[in-house]
Amino acid sequence: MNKLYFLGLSLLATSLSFASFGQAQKSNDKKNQTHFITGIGGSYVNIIDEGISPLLYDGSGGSVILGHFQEKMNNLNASSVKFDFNNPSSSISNAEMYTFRLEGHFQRYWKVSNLEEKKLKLRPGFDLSAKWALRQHLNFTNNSQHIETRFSVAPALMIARPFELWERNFELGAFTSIPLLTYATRPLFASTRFPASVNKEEIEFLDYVKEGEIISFGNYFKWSTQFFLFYPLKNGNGLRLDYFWNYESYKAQNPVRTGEHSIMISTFFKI
Amino acid sequence: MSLRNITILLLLFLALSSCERLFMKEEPEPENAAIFDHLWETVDEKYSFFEDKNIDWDSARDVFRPKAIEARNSVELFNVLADMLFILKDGHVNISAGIDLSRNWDWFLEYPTNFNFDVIERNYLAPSEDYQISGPIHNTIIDSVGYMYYESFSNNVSTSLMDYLVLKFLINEEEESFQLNSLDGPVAGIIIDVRNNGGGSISNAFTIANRFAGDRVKVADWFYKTGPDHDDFSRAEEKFIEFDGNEDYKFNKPIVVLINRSSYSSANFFASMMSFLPNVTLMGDQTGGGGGLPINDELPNGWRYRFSSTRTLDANGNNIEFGVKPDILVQLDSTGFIEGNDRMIEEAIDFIKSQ
Repeated sequence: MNKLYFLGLSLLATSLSFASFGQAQKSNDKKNQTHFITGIGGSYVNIIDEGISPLLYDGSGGSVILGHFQEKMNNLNASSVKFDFNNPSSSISNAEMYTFRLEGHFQRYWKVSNLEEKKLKLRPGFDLSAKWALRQHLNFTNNSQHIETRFSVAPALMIARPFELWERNFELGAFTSIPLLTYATRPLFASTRFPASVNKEEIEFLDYVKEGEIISFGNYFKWSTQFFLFYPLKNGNGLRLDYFWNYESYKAQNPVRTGEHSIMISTFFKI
Repeated sequence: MSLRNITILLLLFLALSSCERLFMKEEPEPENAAIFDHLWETVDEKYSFFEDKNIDWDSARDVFRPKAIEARNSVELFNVLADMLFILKDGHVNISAGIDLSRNWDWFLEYPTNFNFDVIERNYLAPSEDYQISGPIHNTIIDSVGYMYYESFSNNVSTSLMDYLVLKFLINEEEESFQLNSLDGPVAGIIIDVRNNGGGSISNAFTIANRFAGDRVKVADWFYKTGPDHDDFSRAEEKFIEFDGNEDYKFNKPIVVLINRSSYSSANFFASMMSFLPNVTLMGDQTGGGGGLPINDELPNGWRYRFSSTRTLDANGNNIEFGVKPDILVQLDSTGFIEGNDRMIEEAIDFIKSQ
């Protein structure tokens, strides 16, 4: 049922996207443009959080995104805040959880002059990201809520391939990044309490990001990829169909592995 | 590079990047050994009372693992796992499957009941014109002493409800005025009965205790499990109680908290907290214990289980996992039940009126 829902949302997003293709005849020059991004779509997650359960939880939900995308002569800057809600369940225990995820990115990519001349444009860059995630198990009591945070620095790569189809201009591409260094927090070993909140009656928001650890390859791996199909409109605005995917594995005291997917349709408003 | 090559490259990238399920497999029908090992290892690393109870958990593995492997069906496996968990002697430890819920109830089954709600209802509550069921709290006035029976800390109470009850016990109806903080008021004191209260939310325990507290007083230290070794605990988290309620209706008269062996978990902690108030006397039998917050987990076959993951020492350093002793030991006898008499309530009334 969850997969059907996810597929349905994906098809809806795709059809909305293609329905919009007829609105433009030619693209504008994208140099030195800034766009404000709003998007919505469906999402799907796989989770094994051994702080909660050894079982695989998977399920669908929804996503929204806000962001900005700035293209200059020599570089591109992109920032975004994406929120996901999912309702995964275990096919073995039939238990359910809610997951809430807020993830922010700032990315910069540089245009390498000799690569920009080619049809396939490769743009190296970096990705700074922050993530806050809450997993709430619906059948647990004292340990029903698990919160974790991440702050990552990652080299990133943008691949873009403009092309023309039906006498209209499109751009197909991907952003991908793998963090080199990450600062991560997880709850205490056998509790949902955070180390920094011990001895505090009122938990402060910053407690969730204190007393974490700096991690890298060996005990932490994350691969994020975003595929896109961009369609510039005549008036300088645009539409983008995105598929986001990331896989994360953190060998903490309670290991956690997640795979997260979203398909989103976004509008680009020129500002 | 041609468009075709680009498309192939992107499709290959897409295929590689969305296959995390290759790394996130789970066994749909896990072996008995895998189920046993998960349970044993998780409890080994996260259970909080191995040292306090001097439990040889390694020996439990030696004894029960072969039995688990030999189990021919779910019922046999469940029973082996339940038997192993039984040695933890902990009412907060259960394993739950569709077929059964394992439990260790020795903490109250091996002791006198010391409680019969039917006797209280028929002889103390129902005959009284003051009897009300205010939220989860049965309450009345018995022989000029306020009486509250709280059956479960799972049922939420609020500070405003506690304000109401205190006000009820302090109103002097004959004079149609409030007699606050005065022994001339309508009640000489309050009995808070948490016998057979098996616990629930710890926040309800704080709500009630704070309503009767005065200045801030330390009542306990909590220790969280921070690592896999049996003695890996966090620094102490100090717990305090402090008056919270309507300042006009503070209650400074004598309070007796009635307890028995079935007062467990949050009720156990409540009794411990209340014992640090100068006007409170614990009466009855020792509580059943339950001094650790239980957490839940699942086994690879989907069965759910829970176990204690924290330790609690009261402000005097006593481990309340083993129960809280009463200030005045009182046991009920069957003769009293037959006569419709609850000796603990009677003794509590006499004690309060003698103060």
